[in-house]
Order: sequence, then C-alpha cells, then structure tokens
Amino acid sequence: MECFLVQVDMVYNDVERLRFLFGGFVSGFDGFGFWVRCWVWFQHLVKKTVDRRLSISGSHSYQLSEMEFVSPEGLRLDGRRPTEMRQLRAEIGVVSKADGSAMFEMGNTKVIAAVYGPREVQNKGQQINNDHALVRCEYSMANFSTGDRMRKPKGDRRSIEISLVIRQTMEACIMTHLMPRSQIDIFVQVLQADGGTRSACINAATLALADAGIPMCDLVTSCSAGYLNSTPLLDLNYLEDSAGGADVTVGILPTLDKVTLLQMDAKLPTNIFEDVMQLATEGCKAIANYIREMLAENTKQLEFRRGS
Amino acid sequence: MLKSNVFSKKTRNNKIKKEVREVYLRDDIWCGVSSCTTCESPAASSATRLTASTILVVDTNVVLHQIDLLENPAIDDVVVLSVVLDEVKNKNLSVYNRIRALCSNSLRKFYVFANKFHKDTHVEKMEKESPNDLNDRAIRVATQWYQKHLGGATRVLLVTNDRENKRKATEEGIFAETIESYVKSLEQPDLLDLVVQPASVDVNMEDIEDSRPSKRKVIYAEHKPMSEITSGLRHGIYHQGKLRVNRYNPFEAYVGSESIGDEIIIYGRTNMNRAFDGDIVAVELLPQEQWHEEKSLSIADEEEVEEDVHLAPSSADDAPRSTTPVNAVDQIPVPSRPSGHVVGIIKRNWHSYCGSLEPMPMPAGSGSIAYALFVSKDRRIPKIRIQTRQLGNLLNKRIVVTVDSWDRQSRYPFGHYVRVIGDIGDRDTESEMVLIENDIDARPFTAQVLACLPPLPWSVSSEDLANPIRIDLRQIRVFSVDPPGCKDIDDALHCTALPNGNYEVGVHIADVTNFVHPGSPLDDEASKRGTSVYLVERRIDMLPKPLTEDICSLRADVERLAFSVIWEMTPEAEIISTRFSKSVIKSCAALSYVEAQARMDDSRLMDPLTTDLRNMNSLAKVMRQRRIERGALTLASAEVKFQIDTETHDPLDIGMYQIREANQMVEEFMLAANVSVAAQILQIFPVCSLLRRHPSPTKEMLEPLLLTAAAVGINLDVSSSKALADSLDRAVGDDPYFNKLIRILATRCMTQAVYFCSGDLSPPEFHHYGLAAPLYTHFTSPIRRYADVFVHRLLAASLGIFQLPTIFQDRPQLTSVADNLNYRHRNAQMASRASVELHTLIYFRKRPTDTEARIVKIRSNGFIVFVPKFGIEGPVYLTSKGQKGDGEWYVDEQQQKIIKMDSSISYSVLQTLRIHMEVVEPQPNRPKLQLTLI
Repeated sequence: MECFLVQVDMVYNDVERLRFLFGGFVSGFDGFGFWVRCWVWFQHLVKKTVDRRLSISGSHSYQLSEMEFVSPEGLRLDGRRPTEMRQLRAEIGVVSKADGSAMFEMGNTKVIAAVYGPREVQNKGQQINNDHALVRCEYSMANFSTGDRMRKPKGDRRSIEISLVIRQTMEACIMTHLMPRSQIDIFVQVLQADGGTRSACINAATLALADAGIPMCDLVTSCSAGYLNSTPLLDLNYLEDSAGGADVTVGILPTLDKVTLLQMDAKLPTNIFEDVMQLATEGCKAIANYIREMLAENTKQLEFRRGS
Repeated sequence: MLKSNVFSKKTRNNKIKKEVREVYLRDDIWCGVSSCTTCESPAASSATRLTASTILVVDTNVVLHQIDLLENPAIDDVVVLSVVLDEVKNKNLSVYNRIRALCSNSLRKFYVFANKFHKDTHVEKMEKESPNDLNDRAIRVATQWYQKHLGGATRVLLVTNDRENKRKATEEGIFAETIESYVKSLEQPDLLDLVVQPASVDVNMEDIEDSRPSKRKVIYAEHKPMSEITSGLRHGIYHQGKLRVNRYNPFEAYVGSESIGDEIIIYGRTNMNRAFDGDIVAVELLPQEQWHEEKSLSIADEEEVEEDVHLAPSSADDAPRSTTPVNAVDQIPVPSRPSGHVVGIIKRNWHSYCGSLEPMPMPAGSGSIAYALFVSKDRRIPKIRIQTRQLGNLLNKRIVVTVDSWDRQSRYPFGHYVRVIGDIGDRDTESEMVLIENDIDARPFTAQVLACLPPLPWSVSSEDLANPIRIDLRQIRVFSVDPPGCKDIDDALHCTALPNGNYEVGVHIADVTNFVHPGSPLDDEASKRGTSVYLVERRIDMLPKPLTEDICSLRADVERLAFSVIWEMTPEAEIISTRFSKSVIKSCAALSYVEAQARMDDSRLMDPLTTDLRNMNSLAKVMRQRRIERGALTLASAEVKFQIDTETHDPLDIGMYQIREANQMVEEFMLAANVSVAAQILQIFPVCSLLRRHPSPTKEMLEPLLLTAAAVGINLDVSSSKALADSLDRAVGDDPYFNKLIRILATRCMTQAVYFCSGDLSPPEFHHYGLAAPLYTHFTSPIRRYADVFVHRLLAASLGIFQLPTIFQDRPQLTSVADNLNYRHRNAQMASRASVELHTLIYFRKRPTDTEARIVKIRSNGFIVFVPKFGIEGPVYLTSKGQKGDGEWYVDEQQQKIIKMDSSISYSVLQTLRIHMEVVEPQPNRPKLQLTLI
C-alpha cells in the first residue's frame, strides 16, 4: 500500500493554514494592517498550542491513564469490543436544494453534507489553476452539536483545519481535470458530535459528491482508531477520544488501495502505530462496503422512480 | 441492539450537563457456567468456568465489606456482575483491585459477567429510581436471568445483606440469603470469623460496653459532613493533609498541611478523632493558648506510651521525629507549632494489621462468640475490637485483622479477624510478621513466572557468541569481589594495563534483561517486588532462584552474559573514553572482600590477578579522593552483622560490619559505572530516564546534629555537602570513636535517596547530595533491584541494540514505576531493620549484657543512648515511670545536659557510660529490650 505520509509540526501547520486562508486574498487587503492582524493571530495560536501541550503533560492525563477503557473482559465503555465500529447509518438526498447531499451517522456522531457544483467560479481570484476545478470546503459545527450550547465563532482554528483536511482528502479523488474553470463547494455540518467527526464528515462528503454525480476516481472513506490500555481500538467515541491517547484518522481509496489522509495527534511506537493504522484501514474498508451498498440502493430507487 | 444511556452530570464549574452515551447490547456474552449448553463458550481454555451446583451472585456491599471472606478458598463459584464491579471501583479502589485479582486468578472460580451489556440483563433507569435501587434491580434481573438460563440444574443464590433487596428478590422468586446465613450453611465455623458484622446489627456490641460505664457515652466528636468539610477547606477554616502518627508516641500525630505550610500537631486520641495513620483528614486549628508542647519533650507521658529500644536509624526518614526546637522554649513564650484537632476524614487508609489479642480470660462457653481486643504490632495503630468464635485458638497466635468501622461511642475501632500467622514468639511467625507489615510478597513464584525461565542447565549458546551486539571478553581476566558466601554475584571487574601506560577498566554487570523480557509475567512480578529483601536469616528474591544464583550470577570459571562498561583511564584515574556493550565474560575468580584484601596486602604475591587488584585499588583511591574533594560525604552507619547458627537459625553473635579497602574499591567502580550510565541514558532519553537523586537536607533536619555538635564544642558548617564533609573531617575528639559517632548522627539527618523519572524534575534537582554527583542512577545490581533492570533496558535502547519498551512512552506510568520502586526499596529496608531488631531481641533474651553506650539525646526524664557494639538505640530512664516531673532532674538545653537538682550528677550528650541490657516483657506478647544505668 502506498502511503503519502505528511508530517507537520503543529505550529508550522498553523502557518500553513494562515497562508492557505489568506494567501488568495492578500491583494484585496491593505498590506500592512493585514499582516499585523495575521501576526497577532499567529501569536495567539502559538500560545494556544503551547497551552494545550502544557495541559497534556499536566496531572489531568495522569488520572485518565488509570481509567479502564477496555475491561479485562474485553468490552469497551459502551459495550463494544475493541475492533467493533459504532452503528453506521446514512441517508442520501437530505438537502433537496443542493446538487448532492447526504447525512452520515457513526453512533451518536451525526453529520450532514451538501455539495454544490460543478458550477462557475464565483471569485475568480481564488482560482489558481485554470485546468482544474476548484474544490472548496466549509466545515462547521452546529451550536447544538455538543452538550454545552456554546456560540462558537465561525472559522475557529479547529474548523479551519478540518475544512482543509476534508478539502485535501476530497480533492484527491475528485477528477478535477474533467471540470476546468469550475468550482465545487462542499459544505459539511456536524449536527451531533461524539468523537470521530472528521471521519464522519469525509464519509458524508463522499456520499454527497456521489449523489451530485461528480466524477471521482474512487470513494474516499475514513475511519479513526486509537490506542488505549495497550489495545488498539476502532472508531473512538468522544469519551475515548478525550482520554489523551493516540488517535489515528485514516482516509483511504478502497479500490485503488491508497491512503489519502493520515493524521495522528500523539506519539506511538512504530510497530504499534502500524497495528493501529491497519485497524483503522480495516474500518475504512468496512465503511466503503456500507457506502457502496447505500449508493447501489439509492441508484436502484432512482431507477425505479424514473420508471425505466 | 443499540440503547442510549442518558444522565446528568455536574461539570467542574458546577454546571449541570446532560450526557448521552451509547450502549451496545450484545448477545455474545458467555454466562461462564461450564454446564451451560446454550451459550457459545469462548475458545480460550484459560477462561474461568463455574462448575458447582450452586452459583453465588454477590451484591456490591458484600464485595466491599466481605472481601476477606471472598478471598478465602472456601468461597467459590461466584458471579461478579459488572455493575457491582463498577460500584466497588467507585467506592474503594483497593477492594476493587483485590476482587479483580480474584477474578483473574485461574485457581479461583470467579466470573465477571458484563450484565450491563447483555441484551437480556440490561436495565434502564425508571422514573424516580435512585442509582442504588437501579443497581440492586440490575443485580436481581441478572440473577433471575441466570436462574432462567441455567434451568433447574444449577441453583443460583443471590447473596445480599440489604434487607430490602433480599425481600424484593424473594418476591421475584430468586433465592436470596444474607452472607451470614450462607456462611453458616457451609458449616465451617472458622469462616464465620471472617464475616464482617454490619454496623446495624451491632446491638450486642453495646452490651459489652455496658459493663464499663465510662464507655457508654459518646467519646469522639462527630465527623463533619463532607459538604461542610469542602466549604471549610475552601474558606481556610480547615486544613487538609495526611495524618502521620508518631512512631514512638501513638498519641501524637502530625498533619502536613500545604495550606499553612507547616505541620499541625495533634495530641491525644480525642483530638485525632478516630483517624488512622495515613488517613487524609481535615483538621481545624485549636486556639493558640491550647498549643501546648512541653509534653512532647519527655520520653513518655500518657498511659502505656514509652519508647522502645530499636535499631539506630540510618536516615532522617527512619528516625523518631525531632521534637520542637528545644532552645525555642525559654526564648519565645508562644509555642511555634500549631496544634489542631481532626474534624473529618476525607480518605481512610484502613488495611490489615498484624498483631495479637490482648490476653483475657476465656469466656465460659467455648466456641461461642467472644469479643477480644487486638493489639497491633505497629504501635501507631490503636487497639481493635474483634468478634471471634475461636478465642481459645487465637489467644497465643499472631493474627491479621482488618478494620471495619469506628463509631463515636466506642473507644476502639471494630474489626474482624482475617487469618492466623503462627504462634507468638516463634521466630518464623515473627519474621513473617515483619514481611506482612512491610507489604513484602514472599510467596513462591507462580508457574507462569517460572515458565519464563530458560531451560536448565543453561550455558552460553553459540548464537549468543555469534550475536554481533555482544563482544567476546572471555579472554580477559575478569574477577568478582563480593561479601563472603554471596551467591547472586551481579558485578565483576577487570583492569588491564594498556601499552600506552593507561588502564582499561571494565565493570561487567549480569545481563539480566537478556532473560527478563518486558511485559512477560517474570518482568511483571519483578517490577511488583521491586527489590530483593535481605532479612537476617533469609533472602526474598526479586527474581527466581535459577536466575539469581545460576544463570545470571557471574560465578567463577563459567561463561556468562554481561553488560559491560569499559573505560580507558589514565593512572591518575581520568576517564579518557567510555564504551558500553553487551558481552560474554568468563570470571577467573570469585573473591570475597577478605580474600581480595589479603591478596593486596600480601606483598609476596605477584600474580597477574593480584597486580590487577592493586592497580584497581590505586585507581579507586584516586577516584575516591577526588570524589571527597568534590564534597561527597563519608557517612557512617551502625550496621550490624549476625552470626547465625546454621541449624537453629538463632543468632550466635552480633557485631559491627567491618569495611575494608576492598569494599571501597568495588564501591568506587560501581559508583563510576552508575554515573557513566546515567550520563549516557539521560543524553539519549532526556525525559524518560530513570535516575536516582538525593535531596539536600533542609536546615530543620540538620538542627539536632548542630545542637549536639555545639554542646560538645564542635562547629559544623552545613552550608554545602563539601563544607559539611570538611567539618566532619575536622571533628575529631579525644577518643577514636568520636568522629564515627558524629558521622552516624549526621547520617540520620539526611533524607533517603529516591528514584525518579527525569521528565518529572528539572536538571538541578537531579543532584545526588551524598555522592556530590550531578547525575546518578542504579545500574550495577540488576539481580536484586528492578531499577537496574529498567536502566539496563534504557542503556541497551540508547545504544540502539534493543527497542525501548512502550512503557517508557508513558510518563505517568513511568512515574508510578519509580514511586513503586521507592516504596518497595523503603519497605525492604524497614523489613531488614525489623528483622535485625527481632534477632537482637532473640539474642539478648538468653544473654543479659553489660556494655558501653553513648548518650545521643537528652530528654526531661532520661536520655537516649546508642550502643555502638550492637548498633541499637534506646531510652534510659533516670526517674521511674510513676513519678515524673518531680523536679529531681532538670535539662540544660544549651549544653545538652541533664543535671540532678543538687548538681551532684550530670549527664551530657555524647558522654560514655555503661549500661545493662536485658529483655523484659512488661506487657504480655510485647517483649522488649530494657536498658538500665549501672
């Protein structure tokens, strides 16, 4: 299996994101003021990163490490076994106004995706390459998606990162060269968050893209896996996700057998990492089967409705 | 099947938050009964199977309170439900660990049934149902399921002491019994003693108390409710801390409180208010006029309290707590240390205690229930009242007892008997007591552990020799120097003169990690034990005997695997280069210290081995000198050595341990190896190395030393270890023993060195005060210390030979390993001391002796003397116990003297006198050594 391994330092990653976000706009802004704002924001990010690193090394994680995420009987906190996924559910065509849409559920994580396009490029300045379609992605979390109803500012650090991740992942499978001078917008919104949101978003986006009839070389599917209590665990829920262990999110092109996304937010020894990644890949394949079934079912229904 | 579990939770900032969690209900959970045909049993043959015709289902309170009973092999075939486990875990972690151990023990038939996740036994919360009722219902539902599932072939019995639960169970057609009636039905009377009497049934307790009118009233103040304690702590009215009872005076305790930055003293049991040693308590300060302290100055004040003769402490941690700065009394009228009383107990530290029953007349009908008072060997623990049906059996036995409750009306806590250790006075029993008290596991190794050993007879294989990571040093003249009769030889040395005039010096350490693989049962067991324990008459090994005495032991004339540190040194002992490698060696001689010393001293011997020894010795001397110049302390301890009768194991003779030049030579190279290894592992693994540090003593800790020294006219400079070492060198009195005495006193002011994980502290804190080394670790004794095994793995990983085990990635786990090693190390030391104390007592029982002693501390009614010859320390009373404070004697604090009123006699600190030593038994079953002035 081929691997496109991307290793980015956290702070460096933030700079990258800044460039991605503002790179295209620079001409339209007053040069100096913009860079000052950028710098202030960057400082803020660095501080936040450092804070987060400090809090990880604090006593908080110590208490959690004593927690039993897998009982000696081999059951997780929600009754699953380590290699079991949460219940999957999907629905195609939930937003009738969009060209393609889907809702995807992994247990209590519920995500809706809507795709517009391919359509004419709205902001010409954004188009970098005329031969390929421009893929845009916007990720957001509904205010009611978590237990505490907080008003989250749009475009916070986390959602920008996930937007980027989804965009890059989807770009890898969309045949953008077939749609020059056009743009594809992917909107994903988390309706209910319980861990593994970015996997669910990617899966929902795949379904929505397929629903929109956008040419793709393969269906991207994604799944996460973690490592807690010395056991690789598939598809972490929020409780397991926040335990401080490693969380590996993998996105694959199942028929091409290629990895398009690989993220991990902790350290793992290489041999264990391989096991965890293997498990996550298995998960992706299971999701791919499910998605394929869903699409086949959907196509049958379309056919039926058309009456042919 | 998918269900959601909805509940409300209070967050840290007191917001109520609704949580929704998924629950996946399964149909593939096995019931755990071997006769069951409907369930699919797991393939693993190791899985527990219940076989009996009666299966017990226990409820939470039974597990929490009757864990001692459950641990008894007579109780078996128990289903432990996961709701029960969860609740036990929340309430008492130590009981949880014990029940978990039972469930994983393949010899016992305890099966964990995950009823929460089984589709038929999952229960959902009903309207207005309390969590307790919900759990009870879940237990009943699961029991019922078992009954239905197994049909008539097996009887399922719910064991519960909850009356309501039992009633409901019977209504629902479940067999339910209380634990007492179940145990009675087993018809084993001694099991009944293990049953803990619930507090509510405890009516007959009062009858006993009735006979003593004073006991009927409330003795202790009520503990404040938890909510009040929390708010009190927040407002600074109460102070939280761990209660530590004075080892030498159980009526005095200290609470180290962070909130006031000082220790709070608590006098008397009433103020301690039922707190045990080690409990986390909330304390309220007493008004300042009640801060009395003169009490603590005299040796004994309340009823039965007095100091024992014990081994001379080897560090500040062992020593009796210093009383308030003595000179403060006449200068400042207000006492400096706050005293307080306990208002509530935040966390109990109850566990089991060893001791014996207080002798009492046998009640009329034997075999009936009797109440007895249990006296713990650990004097910090109050007497414990227990109920027993086998009083006659227990009276002359050492037994283990657990505390269950302590209510306000009873002077003593209520507990229950756990097991018998053996007859009182029997040496094996007393030795075992020492082990139990210090939490040392002396059980033989399990079959799983032994299965990890390589097959015997073992020898170096050709694969080992061919292994490129191992260098072949068999041609080199390697030898070992150890105490006589040492079987676990873990270090060997070599020293070769190089053509350029330098020396190649090698330290070869047994390659234990070649046999102990991370994560194996053998490794787990070793890490749990932490260290080998050396008692006077036996040794409790950390690793099984074949490893310690044969495979790893670097014996003479056999090929052995080693981990070597090899230096090139100039004749001035400057290290030019260091290299580390795994190796194969063949020791040519296993010398004892005496032999090595004799060889070096015998000028006629010119053989190569002796030359090597001499070269090494001269290098060691230089290294030692340099170390001392850097400020390393040469401390002295009063270690004693017993000569044991090989047949009876009774001590024949005791004397001080002699230290020869050869000892110092070996020690010097071991230190150097440890320092080199510490530098290497820290360089490669800056955050996950295991090092050893020795904190500098604080001013307060050195106070008693300075006071004593000042009284005899010596000025000690304690500003740094170097200054202290120099002034100790200058402290020479007119008699030869004086300097050693001062050094012994200095040693006991020091704290103990501790292991730590390098990521937890900053580099300046790594300092080792006693050795004056910025870095230190333990590498040289992997056979008997687990820390060294750990360091071996680190070193191997730093050389790229082996992969670093995953545990090193997990800092909290690493810290807990270091903490455990410190705990085990300390316990091992305490056990050795206790064992020596025990044998001292046995020795003097038959031989009352007159000997010379030194005064080390002055008290208001006597003084503490140190007996150099036997390394023991104890009080000598000038006034008899009854008449105290009659003003016959007074203490001169400045001069550290105790003077008779008419100035006819005075005793001052460090004075030599002759005393008489004799074993007396003032309280039954507690023999002790008594020292009297001649």
